[in-house]
Amino acid sequence: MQQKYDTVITAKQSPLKINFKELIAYKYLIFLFVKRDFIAKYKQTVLGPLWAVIQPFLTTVVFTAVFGNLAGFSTGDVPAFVFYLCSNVLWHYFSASLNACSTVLVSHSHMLTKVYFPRLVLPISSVISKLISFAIQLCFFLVFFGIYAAKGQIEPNIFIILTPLFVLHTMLLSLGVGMLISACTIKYRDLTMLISFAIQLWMYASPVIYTYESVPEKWQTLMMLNPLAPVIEAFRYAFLGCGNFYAGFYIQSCITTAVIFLIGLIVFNKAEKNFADTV
Amino acid sequence: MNDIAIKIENISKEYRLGVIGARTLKDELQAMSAKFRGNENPNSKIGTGCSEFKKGDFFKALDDVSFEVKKGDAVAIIGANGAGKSTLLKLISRITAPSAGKICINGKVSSMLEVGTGFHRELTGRENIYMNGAILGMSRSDINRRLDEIIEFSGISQFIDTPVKRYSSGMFVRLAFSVAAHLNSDILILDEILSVGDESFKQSSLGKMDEISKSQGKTILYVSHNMSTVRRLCSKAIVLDKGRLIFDGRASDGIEQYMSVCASDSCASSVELENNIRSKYLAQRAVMQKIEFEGKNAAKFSNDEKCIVALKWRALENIENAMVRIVIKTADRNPVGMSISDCAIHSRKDEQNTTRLALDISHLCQGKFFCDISISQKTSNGKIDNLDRVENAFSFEYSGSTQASGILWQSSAWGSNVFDKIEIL
Repeated sequence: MQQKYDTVITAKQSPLKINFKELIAYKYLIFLFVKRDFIAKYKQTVLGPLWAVIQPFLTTVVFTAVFGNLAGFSTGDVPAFVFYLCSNVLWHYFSASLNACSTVLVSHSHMLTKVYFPRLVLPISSVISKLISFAIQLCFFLVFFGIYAAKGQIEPNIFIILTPLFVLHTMLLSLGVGMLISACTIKYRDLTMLISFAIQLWMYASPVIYTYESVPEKWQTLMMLNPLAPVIEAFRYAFLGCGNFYAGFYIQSCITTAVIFLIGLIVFNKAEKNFADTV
Repeated sequence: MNDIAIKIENISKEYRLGVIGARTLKDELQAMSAKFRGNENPNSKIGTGCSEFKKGDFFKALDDVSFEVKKGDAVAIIGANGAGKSTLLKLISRITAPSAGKICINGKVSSMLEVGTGFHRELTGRENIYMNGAILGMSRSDINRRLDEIIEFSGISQFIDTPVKRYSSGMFVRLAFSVAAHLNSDILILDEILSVGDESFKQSSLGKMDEISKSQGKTILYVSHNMSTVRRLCSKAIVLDKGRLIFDGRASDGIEQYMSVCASDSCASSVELENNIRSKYLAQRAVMQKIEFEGKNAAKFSNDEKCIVALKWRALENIENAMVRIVIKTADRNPVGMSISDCAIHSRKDEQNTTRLALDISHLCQGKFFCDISISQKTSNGKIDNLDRVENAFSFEYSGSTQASGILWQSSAWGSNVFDKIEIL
């Protein structure tokens, strides 16, 4: 006699079988996690969400002073401040969401051992919650963008309409890498120590403080293999008009990102069912 | 009609010993090098490195367990610590995956392995209701519909818009429990959660649970060591022992089965006491060595028999005017009463004594009883000073008395005491 059951749990489940229907049913939980992150972060602070702006602003000021003035890095025709601010806004979103995504499982371990919900909710919500601070930072950037554009010191172009794509691209990349790392940090806590250093290293490997053109020619292709590099280049080109839109590199980055995202998803899904035992 | 809520087929869950403890790469490397040199893994959990288990062995937390739960049943899962109860609940609630076997579930499962999971200190009570509800799988409209009910049941409506970090622990637990109690799932999984809150809240939460299972027709799986709540809530029970299912049936039978597992050689005709564990607060001045039920091959009594035992003991110093105290408890360890002898026991130092005791048990109902026994002395200020005391020292079975107006007391649900006839004045 064959009976129909809502849920069947067996010992072996295919790592490719991802229950998206269930994930959608939990969309309200994703929303609440995002809301909670936002509220908890700025509660009992005087400046509140203004902090989201202060951090990249200060970094930009430091970059302008150190790399722009002291080290004398070339930023082309573009004023150093808006150049660094532009790269920083996108980079900051990437690093913040990668960091949050990688540590989200360990920081929620008390939940993982006590209650069931689709574990994918955690990395997804952490990436989305960083999107809020990114939006604030983007507005902040747009103010300066407006000022400089009015003065005619920068030349924005039509690629600006692709901004949502660049953001989505960054988000998927950080989500993919984040899922991969978080699935591993559950077992090896060492990675949490390593992650902040690795992110810093990644920044220097990406054209955040320098441009594609300023890199020696033999290193250019290697640098662009970093899936984040073409995105930052394209983002800066769209807003500031410096550099160029390297379509070939960008497509290659799309493919790399898709592959990383899929690998991350599969590894995460495979490790998911034993999180509670290993955490 | 499909009336099965949960069907569990040959479920096993294995844990590899030692590996659970290893967390960092360094630990793992240490474990590997230790294995290479043939030493004990320095990171293995205490107890797992002992001779009983070898390194790399698998520990079966659950071993080939199968059972079915029908819709609307309230099933208690009972067993000693480490019997696999929580592992079973974790498997059913999908927190971990089984190593082998299959679990089929009909309906939505909500598990409360702990109240207040997902509560965030910075959020207000109201926000946390939404948060906790969503984690437990409720949709926004579900929560909206039940919000008033939840707040009212928690009894802290005054503080509902205060961040929970300002709450007392009692308020926290009340709120968390009320969210959990108002879930609209078909199957509720509860792990020892009724042991929270003050007495009045405990009673109302028990009442709520009763209501959920009986009038709302939901299926409940309940883990507890408190047998009186099990008796009250559950109609059925499964008993686990060392990962294996040893009983599946009526709750009251299950409790008895579990109790007899706990006291493995219960109702034996003689019990050694010398090596039983004493409380660390006991200043021992005498050693009870053995209890024998004279002329019996099992501690079973019927009708109006008295329970006659010979207590063998040794004095560690000169003892005068000591007495014997026996506390009688039911199978689920609730005390029924106490009986004290006269202060008429004397002994010189290192003397071997045999004291014969007769305990009148005619007022007990039919059933199995456990006894604490102690030799005590009154101190000069009127307190009682234990010279030696052993908890759950012996057990006996009583098949009931026919004395009380000729009625045979059949069911344990009649309580544990038989009082004398009511006199009509």
